Amino acid sequence: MRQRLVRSCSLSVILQWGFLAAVAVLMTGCGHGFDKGYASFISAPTGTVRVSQTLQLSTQTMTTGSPMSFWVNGVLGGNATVGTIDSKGLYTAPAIVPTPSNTVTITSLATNFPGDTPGSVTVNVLNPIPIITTVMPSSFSEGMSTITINGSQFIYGAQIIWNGVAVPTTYVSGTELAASIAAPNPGTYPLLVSNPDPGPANSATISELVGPGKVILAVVPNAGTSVRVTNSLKIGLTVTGTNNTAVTWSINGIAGGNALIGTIVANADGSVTYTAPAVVPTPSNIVQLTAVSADDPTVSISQNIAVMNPIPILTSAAPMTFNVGPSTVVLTGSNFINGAQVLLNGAPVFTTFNSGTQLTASISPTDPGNLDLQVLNPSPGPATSTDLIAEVNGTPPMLLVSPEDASRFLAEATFGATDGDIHHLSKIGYTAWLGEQFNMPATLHEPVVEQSLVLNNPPCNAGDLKCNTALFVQNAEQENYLQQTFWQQAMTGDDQLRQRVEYALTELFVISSTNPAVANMPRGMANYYDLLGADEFGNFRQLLEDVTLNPMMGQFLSMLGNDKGDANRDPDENYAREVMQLLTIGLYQLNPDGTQKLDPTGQPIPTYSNNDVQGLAKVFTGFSWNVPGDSSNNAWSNCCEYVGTGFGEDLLQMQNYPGHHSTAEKDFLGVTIPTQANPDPVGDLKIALDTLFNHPNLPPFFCKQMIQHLVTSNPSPAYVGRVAAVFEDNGAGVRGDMKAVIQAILLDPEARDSATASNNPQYGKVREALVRYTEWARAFTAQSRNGAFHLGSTEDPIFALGEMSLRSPSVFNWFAPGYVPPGTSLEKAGLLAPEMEMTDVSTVVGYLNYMQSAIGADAVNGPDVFSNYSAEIGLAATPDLLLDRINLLLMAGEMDATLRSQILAAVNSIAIPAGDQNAINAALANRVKMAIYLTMAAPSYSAQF
Amino acid sequence: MKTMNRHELSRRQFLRTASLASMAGMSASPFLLELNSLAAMAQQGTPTDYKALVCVFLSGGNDGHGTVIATDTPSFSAFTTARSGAPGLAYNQTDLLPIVLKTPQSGRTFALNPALVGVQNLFNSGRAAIVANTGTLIAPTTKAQLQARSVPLPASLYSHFDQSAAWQAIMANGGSAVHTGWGGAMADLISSMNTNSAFTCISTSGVALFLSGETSFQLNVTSAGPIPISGLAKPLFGQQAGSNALSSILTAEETNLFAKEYEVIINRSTAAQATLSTSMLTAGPGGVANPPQYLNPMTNKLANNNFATSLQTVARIIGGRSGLGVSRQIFYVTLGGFDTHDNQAPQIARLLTQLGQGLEYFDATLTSLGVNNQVTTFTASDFGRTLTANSDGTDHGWGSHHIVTGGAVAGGDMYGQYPVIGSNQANDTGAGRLIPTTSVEQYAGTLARWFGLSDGQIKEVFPNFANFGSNPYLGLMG
Repeated sequence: MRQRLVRSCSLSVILQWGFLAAVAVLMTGCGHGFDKGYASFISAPTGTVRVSQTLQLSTQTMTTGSPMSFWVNGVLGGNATVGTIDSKGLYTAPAIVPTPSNTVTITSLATNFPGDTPGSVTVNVLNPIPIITTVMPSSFSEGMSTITINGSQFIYGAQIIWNGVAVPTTYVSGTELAASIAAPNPGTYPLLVSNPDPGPANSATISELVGPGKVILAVVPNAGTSVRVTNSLKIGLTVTGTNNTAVTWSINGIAGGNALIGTIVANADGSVTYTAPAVVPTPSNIVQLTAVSADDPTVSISQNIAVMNPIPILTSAAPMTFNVGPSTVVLTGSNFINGAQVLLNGAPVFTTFNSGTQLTASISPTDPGNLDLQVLNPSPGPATSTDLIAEVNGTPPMLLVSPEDASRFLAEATFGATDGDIHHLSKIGYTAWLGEQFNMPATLHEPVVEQSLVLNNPPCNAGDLKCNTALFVQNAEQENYLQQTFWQQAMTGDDQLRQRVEYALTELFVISSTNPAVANMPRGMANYYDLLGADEFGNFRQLLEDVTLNPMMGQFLSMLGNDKGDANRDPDENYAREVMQLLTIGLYQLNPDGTQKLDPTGQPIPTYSNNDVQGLAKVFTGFSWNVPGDSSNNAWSNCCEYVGTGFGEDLLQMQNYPGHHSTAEKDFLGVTIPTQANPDPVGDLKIALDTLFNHPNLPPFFCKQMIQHLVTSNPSPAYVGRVAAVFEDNGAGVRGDMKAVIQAILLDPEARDSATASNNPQYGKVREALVRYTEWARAFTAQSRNGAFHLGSTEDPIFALGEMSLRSPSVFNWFAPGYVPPGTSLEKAGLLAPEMEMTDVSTVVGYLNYMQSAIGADAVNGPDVFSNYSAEIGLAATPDLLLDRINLLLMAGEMDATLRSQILAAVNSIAIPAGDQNAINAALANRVKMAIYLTMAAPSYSAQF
Repeated sequence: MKTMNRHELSRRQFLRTASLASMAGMSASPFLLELNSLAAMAQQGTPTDYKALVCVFLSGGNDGHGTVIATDTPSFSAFTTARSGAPGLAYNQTDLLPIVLKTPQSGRTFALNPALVGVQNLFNSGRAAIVANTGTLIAPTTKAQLQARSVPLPASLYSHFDQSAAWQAIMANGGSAVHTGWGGAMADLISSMNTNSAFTCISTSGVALFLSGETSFQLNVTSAGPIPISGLAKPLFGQQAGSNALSSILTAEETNLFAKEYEVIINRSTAAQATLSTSMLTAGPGGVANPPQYLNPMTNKLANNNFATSLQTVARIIGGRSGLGVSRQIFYVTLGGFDTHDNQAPQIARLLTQLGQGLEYFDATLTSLGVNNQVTTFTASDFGRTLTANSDGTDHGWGSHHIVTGGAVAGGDMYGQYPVIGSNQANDTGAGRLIPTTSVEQYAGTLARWFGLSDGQIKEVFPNFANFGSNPYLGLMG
């Protein structure tokens, strides 16, 4: 329609464009009154306009004398979204490209010709042309650099084009873009910004200078920084700032190394492979690898590597049967080191080192029955062989505890049962075992972390505060050393009760390196962990005070540096709230048996109000970093004034700063501390902690959660009540005796009655995935291939275990004590299932696959921690005996007949070939791995009951 | 439309069990399946459109006062005074990002936190709105009523755990007695709109109370996508008999309830894995574009925006929806670290930068997938924070301001009343802890209606909804 009308007037239109002044003379061809559509006809000089730009439309007004009305997308005069148009036909595009279509339709009508056919043009609104004003930095050295470009008219999706190639670009704002640029060679490079469709538009091109670089070397020890003798370790290296990435390597200053300190060879990908010597070097087992840049020989970097003893392999013993009383046994195997000890049911005996393949031990078994033999190689990298099961003649004595009950107890009280521990506990009984454990020295984490930090970083002079700060208290990069010692002690520490309870306490008194301030201090975190271990066999009051004043907790719950209030500032309430809600008394008033008190309307009764929080918050003011002898404002606010090897603010309890402590009246939990003339932070803290410690909620609140962590998710009120009563009074008038509480939890009839428990489908709990993993490691004496337990964090939900110690996402731990999974039989039965909160469709798969990988690993392949399974391989030709052992170690004998037959079918499907010994060994090992994995995959193992 | 009663719920649960059984390789009666589809048609009709809600939970309690800031002179002056105790929290007005409301609030002007460039862009292009001073309420509450205790209040105000739960679960009396969330409750009601309700509720970050239903269950999907159980996908330790045994063991009858429910989750995982892995779009070229890094203001270095990666995971599922048999989906994504008692200024700049860039990336991604009008994204958080600062941050509050984005949002505007800023104001319970003037249920109910719930269903999910007037809905969704 419009096309035809335009055609009929085409002559005049064309001439109008060419000869505007003469238009009136030439219009006669369209006659008076004009053709339909003529008077309202409009046209545009171009079909596109950029945002906020203008476009003058042509009209027939000069010919017709008629004013015009315009609509944009049907809106008279347009609007900010589609653009505006004035009465003269000047269209102004909107500031942002309209969506969903960037095409706008402008229609027009000559006002004097109301019946006329409207005119119409379509215009595409395009993104603006970007403008670069500055680039920071204006030049940089060869290598990788982050640049930020400032300017204007940048649109979301804008790309930085470097040297003709678009690079991944971060849109910061309409005036700022950023990108990482790789410029391996010096030179001058073109740089521009390109806005996206519609209407892609490039900025002017500017030149960026890339200068010759300063060479920077960085070691990437992805596989760890330790290696056992004769084994190899691959170490990555990044070389930046130069196009010449060649380096030369030396070990302890000797190019390429030698047979005593190990050798090094370069790989095609720029990494090197270090192969450790056959014997641990002396006098130090630490060797130093050094890379020197070929481009700039003044630039070098070093990495210390710890060379560890091998893992002993025990293959046979003679004799394998003994009588009660003194005997001599000769153990044969490989990788024995001078200083190796033979372990008899887990305990060391007098051992003579004959050779790397033979030891002689003097033993004196006291009881007929099985005898568990192992070999422990000494430090560095202590490692225990898997077991060999010998026999002592005679009728086994009556055990104080059956092996099944012992295994079940150890699943609650340790990171997992071992053959040796089952023997020992069965023989001496629960109470004696607890007594031993209570008196066993703690294996500490803090000295290990400190030593690892010192060994694996360039040395710091004692007086070099900046260096020591970077090493100890601003070092979020090296948390892996904390994780290594956690795994090592959880799996191999003798103080298993302490380790396991300590772990439970980290889930109640949570700190986490997901907090960046905490993450900076891996040594401080290790110290916090050790603090829990030290106090868990003391008194709860001391534990509470030590936790409160620890600077890691101080950072995590921000009591550290909490300043008194004034007119425009209130004290920080964080610690005040959480110490009540999570650490001591909880939200609701409890009866002594842990059930909630209810008001007359049946509602729970809050333990405290927000006023109590605000009152208590004032108590927790005026504590900060402890710089001995310095209580200046500088010490108050700066973390890093006092730090070095063996000491530091990260390790010391926070000190008080009276000038920062509130003197206002403090009301909380029915206690009033009156307004003070002189601030008394220490006195106020004592009142507050005493009040919490003596609160009637504390015993049931704390004890129920400890039971949930160790024994069962739904203890009966009577069980909680019995333990809480011990908390209140250990029998000698002492409140808060932790040893008494732990003993009461583990020895309560409700914990120990295995027959009742296994017949009650509501009893028990989900085993934490992390603990299931340590149970595997302990049951089968898994060892670290490189000696450092290089596992890292296992928190990934789909590729690992979905949790990790000291890595909880918040102060609320990985799971809440009151969690109830909705829509389940547990909910219908009114049961809590805390660990189900971290059990989801990802983590169940993560666990299964992580275990398959762990169980399938061997001395050469797979994750760093693996087992040789020698005792199990010895049973693999008799699958029933193999399953008996696995059932005892992992399931305390609770494996049901169906599960057993399913596992047996899979094990028996692996035929043992004849002839080739390697093939026979592989088949036997495969049977063992199959049996263990299927046991640990069983849902009935994931529950502990 | 009639609302569903409890009896019907259990009947539907039975039906779903039957269809799960069929996925697990057992045969289900065709009669049951037919009944199921008949029930679905009777319940909701068969929708041909697609809609998704994405809950962005800002864990720890976001500082609403510093997120959407009133910049008129009296308000900003009061804000500056209240924040004077903590360096960096009293922003320079020139650094703030102004926003102009389509519906002005008398005498007030507003701006966003300097880090929220992405949200400002979305707001200006009409695809983002602000919902002011929203929080947990049982009934409209004035300060006088609060002081006189004359209205019921949510339990355990200011507590992370309980207020997160109250936001996500809508429990009339707070506490942890309710185990289902409103996302899950909505899913229970609309599950018949999906032919495969296994994919209705998806969390990118662990078990979410928000997505917990009585009959609907959540899937947890990481950016790695659905990973199969290796021992089932390939012969276990080289033995098919091993995989067969594993399959039997993972479906065996368990008596202990903890073992039984653990097994249910494994089976839910295996049932969903194959479908999801073939349907979900890939990340990066050929699939859903990777999110750009963000410029971390704490380090001035580019860093990965894991929050945006979670949104990418959501987009990859939405983009693959045709293979999932869904027309309604509810997602849960978190961004954590908002409990800024100390060191707030740099932390909040880092977090809000991630938030703004993530939301802008998600908007662009959904636009390229052609579904931006069908997906609505909204923020939630434990609570707001105090207006008055402590020496380095802010403490737990109550009401807060929230952000809603998407093509279906009546954007460029603010809904609900922005509070008067200053000490001891009408909505101030002390230190600028705001008594909410819009309840979570109004906010959520408005989103629920857009999502397709009837008024009756909304009242079923949100038990206090009717307490908020004859028309509790906000104009947010047009």
